[in-house]
Amino acid sequence: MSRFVTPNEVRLPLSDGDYLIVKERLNVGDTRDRMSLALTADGKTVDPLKWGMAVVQTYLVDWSLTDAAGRIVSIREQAPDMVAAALRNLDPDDFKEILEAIDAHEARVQAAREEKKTARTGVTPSAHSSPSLVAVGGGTSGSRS
Amino acid sequence: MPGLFRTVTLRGEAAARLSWGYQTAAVLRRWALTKTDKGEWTLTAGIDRADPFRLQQTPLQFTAPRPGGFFCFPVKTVQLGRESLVASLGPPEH
Repeated sequence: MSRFVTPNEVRLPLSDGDYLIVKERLNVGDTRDRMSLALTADGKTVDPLKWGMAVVQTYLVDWSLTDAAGRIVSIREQAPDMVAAALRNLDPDDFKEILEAIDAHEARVQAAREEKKTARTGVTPSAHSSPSLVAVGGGTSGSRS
Repeated sequence: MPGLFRTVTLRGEAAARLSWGYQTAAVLRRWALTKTDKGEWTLTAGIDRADPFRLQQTPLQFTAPRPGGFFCFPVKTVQLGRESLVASLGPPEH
């Protein structure tokens, strides 16, 4: 099994027939980008209010969302600033739905990987000594970024 | 008019890229696509930035904007130079 992350895409359904295309898994570069996006201005700690936005920005590849004129707001291969701007203009409830869909996806993938590891090694993974940042920021729908 | 042109060359300035899945393997500038009389497509392009690891992965795709959409070709081989690359491409996908 390769230790490199293959850039597979996963489609996540949203309400009203919309969908997200997200990364199946983050690689090292992605996780560092996510952390970097969520840091406080002094760069010393993670800002919980920025975490949700950082998660969505890092995972999101594309979506079916349209503007008021019915045109798809294309975000695939767009600059991070453009994607961030689109996210900041969403309805807060819709952003919350997107964040929850991505958090659930990440949890599913992580659980599947832990299960595979257990099956391979026969060792049950130990509990983490500190809470994950997903747990810290997973329910956050606001952002100050 | 089949047979009139032995080769065809398409050129572009920017916004073209080689992708490995959703990951960008290379951002290209001043690119040219040439189709030989044998139907083989070759890409030559300047490199704005490239990820050497991703460029060695498969499958790679070449995409570039065109009026009303995108060119999209599968990449068969890539030869990477210091500031440019040459790639042989499969038939266009759309």
